[in-house]
Amino acid sequence: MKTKGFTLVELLIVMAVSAIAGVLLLQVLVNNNSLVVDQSFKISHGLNLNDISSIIENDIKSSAGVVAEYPDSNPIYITSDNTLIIKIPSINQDEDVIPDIFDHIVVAADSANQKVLRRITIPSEQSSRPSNNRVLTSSLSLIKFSYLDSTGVSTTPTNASKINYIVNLLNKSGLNNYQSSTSGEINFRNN
Amino acid sequence: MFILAVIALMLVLINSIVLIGGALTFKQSASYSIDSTQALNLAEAGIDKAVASMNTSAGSYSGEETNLGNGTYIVSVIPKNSTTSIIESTGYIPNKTNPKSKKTIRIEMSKGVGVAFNYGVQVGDGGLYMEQQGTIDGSLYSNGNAVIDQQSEILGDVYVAGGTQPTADQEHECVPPNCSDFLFGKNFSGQNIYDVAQSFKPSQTQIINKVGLKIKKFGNPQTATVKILSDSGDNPDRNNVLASGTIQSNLVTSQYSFIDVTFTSSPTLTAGTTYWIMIDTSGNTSSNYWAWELDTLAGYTCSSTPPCLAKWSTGSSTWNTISGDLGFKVYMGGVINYIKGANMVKIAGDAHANTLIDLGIGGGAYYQSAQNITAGSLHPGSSDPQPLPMPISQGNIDEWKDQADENIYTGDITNCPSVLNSGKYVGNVTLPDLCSVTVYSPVWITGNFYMDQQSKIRLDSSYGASSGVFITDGTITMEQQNHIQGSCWQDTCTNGSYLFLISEFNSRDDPEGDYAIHVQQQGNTGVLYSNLGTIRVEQQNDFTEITAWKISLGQQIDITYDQGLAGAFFSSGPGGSYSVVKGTYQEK
Repeated sequence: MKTKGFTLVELLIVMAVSAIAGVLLLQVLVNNNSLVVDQSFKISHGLNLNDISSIIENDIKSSAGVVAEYPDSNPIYITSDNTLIIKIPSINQDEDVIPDIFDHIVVAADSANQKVLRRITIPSEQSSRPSNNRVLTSSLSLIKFSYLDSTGVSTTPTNASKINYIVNLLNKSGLNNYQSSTSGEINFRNN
Repeated sequence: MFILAVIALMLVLINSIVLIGGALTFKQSASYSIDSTQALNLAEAGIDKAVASMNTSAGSYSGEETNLGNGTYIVSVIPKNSTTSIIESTGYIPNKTNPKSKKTIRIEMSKGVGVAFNYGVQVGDGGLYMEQQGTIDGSLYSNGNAVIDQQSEILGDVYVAGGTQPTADQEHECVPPNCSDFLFGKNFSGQNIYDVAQSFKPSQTQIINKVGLKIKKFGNPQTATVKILSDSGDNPDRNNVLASGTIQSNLVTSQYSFIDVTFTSSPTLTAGTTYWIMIDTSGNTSSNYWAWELDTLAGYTCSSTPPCLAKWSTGSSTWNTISGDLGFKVYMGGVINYIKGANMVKIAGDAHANTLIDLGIGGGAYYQSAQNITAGSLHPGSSDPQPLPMPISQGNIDEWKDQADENIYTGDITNCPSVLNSGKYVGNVTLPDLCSVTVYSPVWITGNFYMDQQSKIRLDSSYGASSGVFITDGTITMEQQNHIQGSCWQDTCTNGSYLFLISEFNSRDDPEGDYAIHVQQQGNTGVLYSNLGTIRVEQQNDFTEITAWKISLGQQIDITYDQGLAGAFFSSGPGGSYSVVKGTYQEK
C-alpha cells in the first residue's frame, strides 16, 4: 500500500516558511537584545548620574568656598574648570562643626585615566570625617565647573559663591555610543 | 521550530522583565531624589523661617511644626549661649508620621556683634580713674591708663591697650560738592569690584594703631577685612600684608561716618613710604554692598612722586585706578599705657598692659614692665593689647537720631511727662522728684537732661527682650536714686532689655572739660554710654555697665556686669539682628 506523504513542494514550502520565520525570530531576538543593552546603559547612566549629581551638589552646598590649590605647598591639585577643590567645615566626634577648621574635597578626573571621575576627601588633623577616595564613575567624557559670583557672573574660583557643573558620561557598545549628561548650579551655604 | 520559537519568546520575556525592572529602579531612584530634594528644601525653608521669626520676636521664638507644600518641617531652637542658638530644622515628605524622605539641617544663629558690650566697664583714650573701695564685678577694657585707688577690686580681667595718638597722622575727607560714592563688594555692570584700596604715606616712622574709614553700607553686607599692605609698583602688594583687622558690619550704617578699625598687630611703618589701606570683601548679593566716600578732586596731597592713589580690583593682582581719593584716617604712634594701683588693689582675673604698678593680681600678669606687683603667674614681654573700638559707632547713633527725627517736639520739658514718645525733643528735659516716665525708643534730646531724685525712665513693657536708647546732645545729670530701666521695670532687669542712656557731649574738646554724664551720690542704676565724653559717678552708686571716652568713679561704686549686654538687641536701628553664623550649615 502506498502511504501518503508530503510532496517535495510541500516540504520546500514548509522549509521556506520555517526559514523566514527563523530569520524573523532571530531578528526579533537581536533587536530585542540591542534594545535591552541600549536601555540598560541608559538606566545605569541615569542612576550613576543621579548619584554623581547628588554627591557633588551636597558637597558644594556644605562648602565654605573654593580653594585655589591643595596642599598649600607643592600642590597636588589645582582648581580649574575640570578640577574642583572645596573646603568644608571639619566635624568633631559628635559630628558637630569645628569653627574655622576645614576639610578638603577634590572632584576631578583621574590623572592616569581620564574616564574615571574621583571624589577625594582629605580631612584636617582635627576632623572626624573619614578620608576617602571614591570613584564616582568610570565612563566620564566631560567634567566642567564654572565659578560664579552671587549675581551669576563668572569670577575667579576663590571669589565664587556658587558653582555651575556639567558631567557627561559616554559608553561604547559595538558601533553605538551612549551619552548622557547632568548639570546644576549650587550656592555655597557656608560661605 | 516550535521549541526555537518558545526559547526566543522566553528570551524576549526575560529581556522585557530585566528592562521593566531597571526602569522601575530608575523611577524609584528618581522619585527618591525628588523627595529628598524636597525634604532638604523644606528643612531650609524652616531655617529661613526661624531667622525671620527670631528677628520679629527679639529672640523669643522657640520653634514650630508647619505643613508646607508636599510636606512638613519642624524647627527647634536650642540656646547655646547668650548670643547664639542652634537651629535644627527637619523636612519630611510627605508627612512626619510616615515619611518617604527626611532631611535635617543644623545651623547656628547669632545676634549681630556690633552692639555688644563685653566688658563691665569700657573706656576710650581718656582712661579710667577709680577712687577707693570701688568694685567692678566684670571685666575692664581701657584704651587709656587705668588708675585704681586703695582697696578697690576688679573681679574680672583688666586690659589696658597700647594708647593711640588722639589725632590722625594722615587723613583725607572730601568737601561737598566734590563728594561721591565709590561702590564695592559686589558685581557692578559685569565687574566684580571686591577689593578697594587707598594709598598713603606716613609722616613719621611709627607703629600704626588704627585707621578710620569713611564708609556706609547698603543692605547687610558680610563682614569685610581691612588690611595694611606694602606697595609694589604703585599697586597694593597682596603678598605683603602688614596688619589685618575687621570692619564690624553692625557699626556701619546707611549714612557715611568714619568707622574705626583696629588691627591684630601693630607693625611699624616708615615715614615717606607708600602703604595701602585695602578693604577686602568676598562679594555679596546684589542688594548688599558697601560704599567708600570718594573725593572726586583727588585732594589728598601726600607727595608728587609717586602720588597717592585709590584703586580697585576683582580680587586678582590686577588693579584699576579710581579717579579720586577715598576718605580715611591713619593713626600712628603708640603711647605707653599702664594700670596703676595702690595699697590693697586687687584684680581677680588677668591684667594686661604695657606697665603694671602696685597691683595684687589673682590671675596672670601680662606686661613689659612692672613694679611692685604680685600675680598668679608672670608673663613679661607680652605685647600690648590692641585698642578696642567703642561698641556703638557714631553711625549707629546717627541712625537712631534719623529715626527720632521723624517726630519733632519743640520746647523745654520741666514737668513730669508720663510718656516720652519716640522722637526728637528740641530743648532741655528736666524731670522733677519722684517722676516715672515711660519711654518709646529712640528718644533724642538736643539739650541737656536732668533727673532730680528718685525718678525713673523706663522702656515701655511692649519692648519685651528688645532694648532702647535715650540720647542727649548735651549733658546728663542724675541726682540720688534714679533708675534707668529696660522693659522689665525692675531696678535690675534680667530679661535682656536695657535702656541705654547716651550722651553725645564732647568732654575731650570742651574747654572746661565738663562731664558728659554726672551721677551724684547714692542709689542710681542703669547703663551709661558716652562716645566722646567723660562719665563721672559719685559715691555709692550701682551700675550695670558704663562705657565712655573717659570714666571717673567715686568711692564705693559697684558695677555689676550683666551677661545679656554681650548681645543687646534693638528692635530698630543697628545691631542685634539675628543671622546665620557662617560655616555652621550642616546636613545631619
